[in-house]
Amino acid sequence: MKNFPKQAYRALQSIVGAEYVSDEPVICETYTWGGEFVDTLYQRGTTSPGCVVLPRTTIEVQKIIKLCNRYGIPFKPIGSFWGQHCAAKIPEFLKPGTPSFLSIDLKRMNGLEFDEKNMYAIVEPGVIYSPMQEQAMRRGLYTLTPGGGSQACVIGNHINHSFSPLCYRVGIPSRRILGGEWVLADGEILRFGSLASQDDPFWGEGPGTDLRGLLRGTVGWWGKAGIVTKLAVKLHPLFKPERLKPIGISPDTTLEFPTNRIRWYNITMPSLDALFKAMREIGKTEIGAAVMRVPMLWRYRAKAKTREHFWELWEADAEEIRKNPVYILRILLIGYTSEKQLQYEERVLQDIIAELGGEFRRTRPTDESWIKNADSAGMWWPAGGYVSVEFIHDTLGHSIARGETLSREKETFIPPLVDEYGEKGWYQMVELGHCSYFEFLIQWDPYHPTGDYVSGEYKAYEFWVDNQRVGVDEHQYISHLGPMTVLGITGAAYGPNYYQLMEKVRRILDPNEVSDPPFDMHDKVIDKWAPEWKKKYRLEEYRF
Amino acid sequence: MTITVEDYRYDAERCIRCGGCKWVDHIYMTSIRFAYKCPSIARYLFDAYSAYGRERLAIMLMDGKLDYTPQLLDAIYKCQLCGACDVGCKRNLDLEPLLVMETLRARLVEKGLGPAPEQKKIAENISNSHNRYGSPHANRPKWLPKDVKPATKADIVYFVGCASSYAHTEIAQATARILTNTNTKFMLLDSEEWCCGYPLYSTGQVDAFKKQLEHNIEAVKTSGASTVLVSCAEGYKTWKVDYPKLLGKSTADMDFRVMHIVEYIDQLIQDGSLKFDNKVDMKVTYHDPCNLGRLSEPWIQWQGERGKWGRLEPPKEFRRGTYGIYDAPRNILQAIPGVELVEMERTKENAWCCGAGGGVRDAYKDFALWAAGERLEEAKATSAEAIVSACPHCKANFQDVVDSRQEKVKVYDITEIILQALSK
Amino acid sequence: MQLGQSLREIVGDGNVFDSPKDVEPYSKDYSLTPPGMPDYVVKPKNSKEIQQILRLANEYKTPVIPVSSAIHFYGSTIPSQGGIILDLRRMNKILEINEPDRLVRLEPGVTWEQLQSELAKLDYRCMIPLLPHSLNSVLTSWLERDLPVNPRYEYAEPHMTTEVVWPNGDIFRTGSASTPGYPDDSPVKGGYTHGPGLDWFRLLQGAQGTMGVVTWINLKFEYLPKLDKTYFIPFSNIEDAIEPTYAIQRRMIGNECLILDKLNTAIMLAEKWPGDFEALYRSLPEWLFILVLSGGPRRPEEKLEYEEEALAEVGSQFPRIVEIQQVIPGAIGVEKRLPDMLRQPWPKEKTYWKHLFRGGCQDLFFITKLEYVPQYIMAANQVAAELDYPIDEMGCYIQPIEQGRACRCEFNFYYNPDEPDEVERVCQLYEQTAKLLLNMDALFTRPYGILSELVYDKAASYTAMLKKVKHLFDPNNIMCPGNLCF
Repeated sequence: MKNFPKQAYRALQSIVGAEYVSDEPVICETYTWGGEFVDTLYQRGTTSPGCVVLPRTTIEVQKIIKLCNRYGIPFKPIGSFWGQHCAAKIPEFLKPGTPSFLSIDLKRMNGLEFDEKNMYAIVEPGVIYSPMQEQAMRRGLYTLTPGGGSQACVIGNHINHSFSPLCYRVGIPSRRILGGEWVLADGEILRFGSLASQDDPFWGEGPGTDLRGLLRGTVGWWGKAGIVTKLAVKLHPLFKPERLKPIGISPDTTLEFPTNRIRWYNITMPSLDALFKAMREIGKTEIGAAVMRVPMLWRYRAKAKTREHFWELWEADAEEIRKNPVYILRILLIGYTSEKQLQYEERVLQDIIAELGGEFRRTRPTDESWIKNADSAGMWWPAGGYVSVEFIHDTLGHSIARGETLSREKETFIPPLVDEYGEKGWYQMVELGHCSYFEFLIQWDPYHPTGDYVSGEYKAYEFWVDNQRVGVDEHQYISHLGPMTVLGITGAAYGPNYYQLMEKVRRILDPNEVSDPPFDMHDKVIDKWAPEWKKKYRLEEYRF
Repeated sequence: MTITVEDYRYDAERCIRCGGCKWVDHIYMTSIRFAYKCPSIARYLFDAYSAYGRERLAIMLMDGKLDYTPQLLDAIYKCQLCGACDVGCKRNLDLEPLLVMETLRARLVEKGLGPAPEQKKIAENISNSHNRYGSPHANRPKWLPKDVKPATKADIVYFVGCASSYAHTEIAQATARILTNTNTKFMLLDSEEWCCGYPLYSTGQVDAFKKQLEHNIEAVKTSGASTVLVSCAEGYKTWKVDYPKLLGKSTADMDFRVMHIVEYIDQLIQDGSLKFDNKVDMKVTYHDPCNLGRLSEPWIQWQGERGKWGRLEPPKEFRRGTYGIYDAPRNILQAIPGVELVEMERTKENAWCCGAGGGVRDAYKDFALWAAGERLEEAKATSAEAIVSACPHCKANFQDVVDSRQEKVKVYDITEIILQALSK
Repeated sequence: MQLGQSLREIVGDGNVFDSPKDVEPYSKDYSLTPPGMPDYVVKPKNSKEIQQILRLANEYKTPVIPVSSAIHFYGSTIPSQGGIILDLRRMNKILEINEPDRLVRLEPGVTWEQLQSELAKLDYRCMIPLLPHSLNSVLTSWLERDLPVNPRYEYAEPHMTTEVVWPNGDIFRTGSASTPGYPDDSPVKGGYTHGPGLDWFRLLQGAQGTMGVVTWINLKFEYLPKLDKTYFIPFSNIEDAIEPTYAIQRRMIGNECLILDKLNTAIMLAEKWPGDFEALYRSLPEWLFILVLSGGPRRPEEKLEYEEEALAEVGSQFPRIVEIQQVIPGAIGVEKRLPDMLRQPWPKEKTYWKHLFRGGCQDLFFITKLEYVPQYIMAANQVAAELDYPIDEMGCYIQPIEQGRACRCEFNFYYNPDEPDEVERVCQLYEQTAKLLLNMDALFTRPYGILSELVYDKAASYTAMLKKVKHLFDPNNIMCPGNLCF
């Protein structure tokens, strides 16, 4: 039974117009599912909102949020409902008497402008990557397509994740955010960067102390701090404005590369050690646009035509993969300056690979991922359930250590997790090798092993919790910090006590606690459905 | 064998909300203006008006967790079943969103909760008069021009369809003349031709649909024809896909072949037996009818179990829209001297629906016309003089908008262009 | 008195100073900011001592001003309300050079001279602003968002992780350095800026010491090219330089890249002062675009070759405007020493370049788009003319940022600090130019002195939030009161 104040509903109708607001169950029930942690225990803590509203402008957003503050209505902003789990939270996780959630669906806010000369785009929260990328490329510019895929919203993604192999050259996301406009959780508007003092958000810094520090982090607010309604994001020079030609027909669509200017290379390395050495050396020479090593499972996914075909191949090669893993280094070269740059970089690459005993493999002159698309949806393809339990940066050595830890820990969770035969993870070089990105993905059948949803629901989530505990114990950096973490594990360990600082900041930004409460969602989920984990994983009592 | 929404519960539950059902394939997407390929969510914006929304609703209905309301009918029926969602989903996943939505409608009708009143009226018309309009059945064959003489018996039976028989006779006439011009022997079913049943199946009125199916198949069998030729995309898909589906058979196992006039003409062009004599000076853009394009792949009957990892046993071959009839009409247009073909942003498996299908034009005409209007904007952006399609329902929907807005762009069925290029 | 005693107990007797002769040097700097006397100068050696000092300062509500360099130009370290100068120069160790990841961790007292010479031994260098003073703190340079003279890197910042002592005395680490066990017992190498939770590092950037005391920083360093070639493009007016700069930067050609007016060029490049200066000044073009092409660590000649070809190609797009030269007429040999010069601080044995011309220099700099630079130059000239300030005594430096995405435009108002009239005139010039440029939307991201009030007045919502955040971290406002809007 939803509890959404009628007065507030009427006010919403006045703000956006009656056709853009609804409290009908048919409408609200469809805002419950999607994003990370789907099919895990976390999902149980979510529910449908009491009302959905679709604003069009910053002023409408501001009015809506102020209304929420007046009536104590918790709200959740939704860009694409793809990366984050954007559902409302169950009443028992909220203070007694809290009204039902308001879902603020931002899809109508789809403004997109370019400053081609000065290389940035200004976007609204409903804009996703793919039209921006296409239009950028027609201007001789590009952005990255994040791991989440082109269907991710640019703003939401930039202020939460925005990781891609192309970060190798264009940098980590905090460095790609320029000026913007942020409707805070209390309804005030903060304009930061150059937008603080003028109309053009071309620059992100200051003045003075840089309040973009409040906007995101690892991983920032996870949608719990108001709504950014305008953001300028960096674009980067490509080569001349030539549209990369899309070819093929679904499901095999791809971008055709002018291979004199942009080219992928797949290289087999004799060992993981040689592969890592190659990654370092490539970074040092400053060649390339992307440098990575992908999990073995992805190659099988790419080869297979159906799920059944995938399993046929994957199971057949199990022993071979365990005994003789193949280490494939994947590099993207782009001749930004000229064709000759690509030729030069290719020669340098050949030198490095020859020194380390690698071998170039046949590589398609097309791109299925990273320029116009990223096959993130395909992560669910093998088994039906998927989540990335880790997506963290530090340096390559840390990525290697993290991979060892997680592949070791995973053994006790197989089944229900898909056995990847000792797979260590997905490694990328970032910022020309000064930094490295590591991601660990897991798949499971939500109905495994007995057709019972619950087993997978628990185990996948538990592995994620275990990953944080072990990460802290082994002194590794982990990605799931902030509200996307188990605060009882990480809150005191990192910083130290980063969670206290974050909570203090949250009180300034959201004094009435209406921006997607609760902050400690994961801790509450564990408390309710897996209290035995508190002892098992040594959750501390965190205090704000 | 009747398939039900429970058969597709897994598919509904495994939706990951990636948005592949609403976005044009990202590889092909070019602009925000034409980023969507789902007219429903583009128009109505709330997520209930999308495949992922309807899949949620299907689960809730199956679990008895949602009450019937007019809003529910609205969300489920304001959808052309154009299949854009299906193709988008299947680019990355092995799921069946369209079948979820088709069977969901059948469930609503079964429970007496659907379809929309206007769609029920169409069913009455079909039941009484064997055509969607409720016009006298006796008038059905009257489109035939006096100078066209079909054979009494032939391998090819031209199944005209309601729209071309009654409302857009120019298409039937053009088709018949094309066949005559190309010395193609064909026959007609005359009064044995009943509505193919598309307005029934697409709105979940499965029992009524079966009656049409049974009659028409029997009529073709009796005729002795081995090929059913159509000039209507809705009819094409109904014959080729929905008839075998409801019979629990694969298209390949049916006793006849289904062909659209564009396939036939393209075949003649490819084998060199047809060359166009007349020049048709026109800059055109081609609109892919959903039912001829992405929805037209042969139905592949499958029965089996789902096991560990969600694997299907036996493995299922998924229909992903890859082999829709995209090239044939384009080959034809490009073969006509004087025709300049320019493409819209959303083509082939990413084509934006004209807006007419799925019972929408019958029950929600403003929505149907809105969708057509959107497509016409896309056509105008190419600077084409004319938009050409291969379905009378597409033509009707576009024409209504052109007339109401007094647009300059012309609307043609491809048969009309072909005839111009052929006529002496 | 008790405060002084308590401070001595923390850092030792020899590291606390309160006599006028010891504290007076900290009361002023090379800026036009009026002097302000501190009460104490304290020289800690580690973060634990700093922690104790800050706790004490909170107790006494005494301001604390951290200072890392021996020399200052912007007035941000001059106490406006007395207090404790926290001189961090005892903390001058390069703590770690991590070659595989090319990261260096260093304390605030590490100078540019110290860092670049250490890295050079290993064939590396850190990105560096334009000719900083050799005694400038590297850490402060990057915290204060100085800009590299090499706009090649698309992410511009070399800043990775830090350790900070917050104003309340809590020791905290930003980014991956926040991991328990770092640095000695963790696979983490401090190579990731984000988090934990939020991007705390950003709150330290541009803060002019108001948000805490940074006690070490991890920075990136890059390979030191062995092969360089310097190119020059002369321009008689700045308007002509803009499009070619965009075009060259867009093609990602070259490493170090900057534009100087003839005055600054002559000042920087004159080997013997003042003799060479006069001759150089007369022979130089009004504006000089400088670009260094460098070979990579592998196949260096081949990299040079493709970049040279690309440069020539771009140049050919501007046939009547661009003439690419490999030497500066009247300054033969400069092209050979320039790359090395641009990778080092100003030589310590020489008078700092900004003080060579008249003895004093007041900088006014801001961020803008390249295409707007000419109008700002015209505006600055206009104000100078109105105040009878000789335009040919005003230097100008334009630094492209990140492939020409934006630029820093800097005016150097040279003056004789011993002439009160000149000081007064430069003060007026600075203020009036700043006001005019601010009205023209010049972006002052580093507002020092009187700029602060002007800038924060204009950025109302930002200012309000900044004060809230400041209050959160520093409720007693002990850190550099008077800086920014505090």
